[in-house]
Amino acid sequence: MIKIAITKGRIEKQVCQLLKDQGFDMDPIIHKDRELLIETKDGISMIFAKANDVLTFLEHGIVDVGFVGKDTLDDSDFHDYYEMLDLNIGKCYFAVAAYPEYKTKTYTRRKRIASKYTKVAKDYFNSKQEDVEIIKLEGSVELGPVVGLSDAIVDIVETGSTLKANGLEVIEKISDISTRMIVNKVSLKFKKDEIFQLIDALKGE
Amino acid sequence: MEEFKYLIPEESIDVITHHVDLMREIESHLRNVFIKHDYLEVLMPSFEYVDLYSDMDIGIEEEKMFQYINFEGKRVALRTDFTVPLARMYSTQNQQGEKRYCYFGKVYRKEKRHKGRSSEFYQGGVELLGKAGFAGDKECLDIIQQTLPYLKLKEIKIEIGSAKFYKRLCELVDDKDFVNILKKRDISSIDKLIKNKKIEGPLKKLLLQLPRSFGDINIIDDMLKSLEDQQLKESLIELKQLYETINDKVHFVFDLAMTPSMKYYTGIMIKGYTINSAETIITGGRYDHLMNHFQKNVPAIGFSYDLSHILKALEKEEETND
Repeated sequence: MIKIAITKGRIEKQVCQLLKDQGFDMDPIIHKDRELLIETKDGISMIFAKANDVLTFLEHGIVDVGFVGKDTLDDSDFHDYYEMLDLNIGKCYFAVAAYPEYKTKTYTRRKRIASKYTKVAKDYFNSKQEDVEIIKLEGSVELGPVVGLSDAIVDIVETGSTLKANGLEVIEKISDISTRMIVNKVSLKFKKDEIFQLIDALKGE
Repeated sequence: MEEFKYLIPEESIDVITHHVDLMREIESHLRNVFIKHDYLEVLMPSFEYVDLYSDMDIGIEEEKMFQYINFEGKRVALRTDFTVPLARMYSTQNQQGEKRYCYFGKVYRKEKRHKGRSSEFYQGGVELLGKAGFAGDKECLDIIQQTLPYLKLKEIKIEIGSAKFYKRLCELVDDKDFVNILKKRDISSIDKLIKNKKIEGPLKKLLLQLPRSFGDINIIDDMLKSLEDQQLKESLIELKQLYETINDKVHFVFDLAMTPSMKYYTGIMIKGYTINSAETIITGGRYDHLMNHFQKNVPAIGFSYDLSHILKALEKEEETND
């Protein structure tokens, strides 16, 4: 039995489709109602959770494998897992975005940056040797510059259409994001064959 | 301050209220084995200078230490590890030659809030100073093997890795991201690395094999067949020879992709796992250069048992049996 935690929503749909294509029995999951835990015929027990919680379940050894976006991994302070596979799905990227004048404007005070991903924002500006004030927003981070709370934002960019609709643009790309398969370190030692079977299937080998 | 009458600080998440007797029993078995091998039990101080740890750049993060500023204006930390203070003690007491120390006590490491992690761990372990190479490694593995039955855990794996193998591999690959790729056992990034650096031949084969190169002794035999680099070969042959000397081999396995959890490891590295603990229950390794920091050239090896994690795993075993 291999235990998996998967990020609810799009990652769940994409990964389940991938596994289905590789011949795994995913019907009970694709046709599920509101259940949070489902077991399949192939000996997979799957739970559906919010991205950060996937990491928490894995950390505590509740699950062996997690499917989660690189964005969540980057913004977490927990790193003691194996990040074995880049599934190359759910691709997008972290970027600094602002009104176009941000690029040329000189600030005489600390810049204010709004982000849901405060660790990513902090690490990025640190690497630029810039000291900024980071303000955490939980969603619709674009509001930061729009309402004048912040000078720029650090956020996930997929198509850029929300930015564009609000007059913002990408100032600089920070890093790539895609869905990753992470593995609990102890689980890998005790369930080597089952986990590599899953890896090989997802790699298409 | 009425409101604090019933609460404990979040750092104290893991107060052990039952099974203390069980822990003491395991502890006394461990102590007996250590003492039988001539290890002297030491009671180490609870406080050390932060600089003792940070000057050595060994990978213990300062923000994880419980610190305060003492009357000298110096930063003092609650003990975060036993190996470094023991190395300090050995050198300040002007010790020479072989010394065997064992210890029991807590180490303290700060954790983020509301993550269900502990900030204090009860450890017991040994440090064997002044005994180089094979003989020292063998002594430690013998001790581990003798103590395993006393841990009462159902499934244990003692995994051996080689810092020599790891270091040579890093030299051969020569890429700044490689350490992280290996730490994460990141198959996708290894594929990319091979492509970008146009790695060919035996090294390519080795890198492709590496994420799966853990398990019983066959892993080493398989790897030896395809290796060409002399230093890599030697490091594996050393592991194999060591393995041959172990009486009861069932628990011993290998991981060729193991990366040093402490920067000071130079030879074999040891990690103990049990199925019901998400954390390692034993960690250790050879650290022949650590004493250079104290102007001494003394080979050393040590390992410790995380009794808090062992106890947690035992409790979990009990729960699943019910």
